[in-house]
Amino acid sequence: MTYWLLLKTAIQSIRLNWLRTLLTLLGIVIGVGSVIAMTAVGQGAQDSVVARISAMGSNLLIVNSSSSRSGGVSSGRGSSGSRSTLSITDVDYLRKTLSSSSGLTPIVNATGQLIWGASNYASSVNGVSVDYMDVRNRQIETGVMFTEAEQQNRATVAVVGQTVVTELFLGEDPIGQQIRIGRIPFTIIGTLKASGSGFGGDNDDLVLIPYTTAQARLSGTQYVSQIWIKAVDKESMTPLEEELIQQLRTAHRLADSAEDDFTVRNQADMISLVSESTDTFTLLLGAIAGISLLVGGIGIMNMMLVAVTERTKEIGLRIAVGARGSDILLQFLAESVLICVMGGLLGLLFGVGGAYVLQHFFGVNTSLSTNTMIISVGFAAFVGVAFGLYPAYRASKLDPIEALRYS
Amino acid sequence: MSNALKQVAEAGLPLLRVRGLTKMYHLGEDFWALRGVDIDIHEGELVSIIGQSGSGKSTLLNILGCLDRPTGGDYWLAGNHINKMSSDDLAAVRNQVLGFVFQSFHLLPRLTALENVMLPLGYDHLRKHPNMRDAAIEALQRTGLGDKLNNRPTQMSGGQQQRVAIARALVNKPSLLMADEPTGNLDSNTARDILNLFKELNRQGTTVMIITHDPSIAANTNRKIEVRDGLVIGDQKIEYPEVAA
Ligand SMILES: Nc1ncnc2c1ncn2[C@@H]1O[C@H](COP(=O)(O)OP(=O)(O)OP(=O)(O)O)[C@@H](O)[C@H]1O
Ligand SMILES: [Mg+2]
Repeated sequence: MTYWLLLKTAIQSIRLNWLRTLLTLLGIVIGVGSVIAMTAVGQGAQDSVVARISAMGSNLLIVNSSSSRSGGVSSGRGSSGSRSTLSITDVDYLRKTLSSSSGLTPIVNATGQLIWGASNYASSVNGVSVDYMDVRNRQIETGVMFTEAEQQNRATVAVVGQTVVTELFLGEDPIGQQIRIGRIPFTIIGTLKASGSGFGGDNDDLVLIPYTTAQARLSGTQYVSQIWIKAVDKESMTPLEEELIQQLRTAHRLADSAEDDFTVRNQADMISLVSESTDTFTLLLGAIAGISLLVGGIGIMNMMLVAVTERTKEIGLRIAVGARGSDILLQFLAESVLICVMGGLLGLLFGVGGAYVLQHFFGVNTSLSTNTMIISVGFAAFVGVAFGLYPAYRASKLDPIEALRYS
Repeated sequence: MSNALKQVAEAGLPLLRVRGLTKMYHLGEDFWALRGVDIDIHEGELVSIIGQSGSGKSTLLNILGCLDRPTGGDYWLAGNHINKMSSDDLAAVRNQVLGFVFQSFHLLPRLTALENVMLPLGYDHLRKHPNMRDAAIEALQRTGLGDKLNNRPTQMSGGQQQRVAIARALVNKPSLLMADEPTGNLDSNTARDILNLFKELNRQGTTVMIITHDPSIAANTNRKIEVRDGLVIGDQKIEYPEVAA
């Protein structure tokens, strides 16, 4: 039998029982549809997390203090609560010794109440260096960033994010305004371009002041919570990370046997870590949906078994006029594969539609992948073969005399 | 003869030859439906097979029609030993060398007359049929149904349905046409028409074997083979077959 004839015969049989076919097909439609929609959700989640990590800046290394179990030399005297092992000394040391970084900023956390006239607002006050703008990939909206000189002079100047502009200044131009952070008066010299929300919430709900000022006037300790370092390019990240660890160990005077009393996170590693875990998540979603595809396959098998029984006489006649076992096998396989492919294509439609609805009406970030579409429709066809094989085999093994006598 | 059979019938040798053909069914105990049948059929013959109900006629014809395999004995078709053939080869023989007509027609109800007749052409793996439609129309014209191409079986009389079935058996231009009580479901007038059709096809060169209960039909053929209890008990040439009016 030619392929064209096979297809024609399959279409004829399907049309004869279109309602039954349609109902059985639903399993495949739901299976393929949910595989596509689910993986789109998983992939969308991954994309948005990766986008957030990338929005922090590029080629970043982030040093955090860690309360070392072995107790490094400079640990143990941390400010209450946070047992920080990173200090201003480390920052200065790294600035002097690191050979190739393109920017470095400490973050000195000094959360405090902001007061402007009668208005007040609690924001996150960060003591940072001039490099912050470049390292964190932030831009000035109005005014200016503080200068190296202001940083050295511990100037009481501040740059504020857009959330602070609306919440504290109620939309008025903040440049030149005097505010108080705790009891210390500051002059606003600039505002940051909005950057949206990222890790740890609103990226625009912050106040930047020179870290020297933060340390001298607000926190009162030597300790910094983080140091962010930007590598010149992607390739130099690993060597820079190694050098950084070495220099910090030297600065902390750690013995060779001692563990690091700090941790360095690499932005590239973070992205691959997130990708890995969301890949697993996506795979899991896909697998769950894939199971429904298998269940759909069982439905197809059931229907095909019924079809073979119903058409016993027809099969007998076809064999009697010269059909080989393989002709009959192919005829029924073609039918189940055609049904599954139709289900797959319908499922594709529903999956893409579902992802669209989630994206546009429920705000779920989704990302459709052509690969998943091809694979899941292909898998549906495979289900057609796998679950159509046994019924088709049974049909091909019928005895023509008995089959013709069947009523 | 088509290439479904490797050997071509040699001159003088029978088209069909069986020797010691047996068939056993198990139904609790063994039952021998055929107990050693010897038959030679030559090209161009018009043969009837008669016998009481249960004598083994259908069993015999199913084996001769390659729809069933014998339990013992040998079967040659144009010198080809059928016993040794694979089931795919037998399918090709059924498709191209033999034409089989059933008592109850066995047309596919959802296909038109034309589509029913085209069916065997689709299973011909050995020859190309560039124009299946024309071949099927020609076969239907030979059986006198050129004007009912697009009727479905339910839209035709019994006689017309049997003509479609005969056209289906003819469409691949078989050497041997076999019919198991082809008129059993038809009234006597229609039966006579169908018989005349077989006689006409025989005159045009097709060898024909017909199973029948009807002595008047048997009297119309050239040769009458009588079966009883799984054995051939009579094989009679009819010199002057009656002419069905
Ligand atoms: N599949 C089968 N299983 C068991 N016994 C069978 C089977 N087919 C036929 N028989 C037996 O074999 C014998 C011959 O049957 P067959 O159908 O060949 O008879 P027949 O001559 O064609 O009869 P009729 O004229 O009624 O059609 C019968 O006794 C029947 O019961
Ligand atoms: Mg019979």
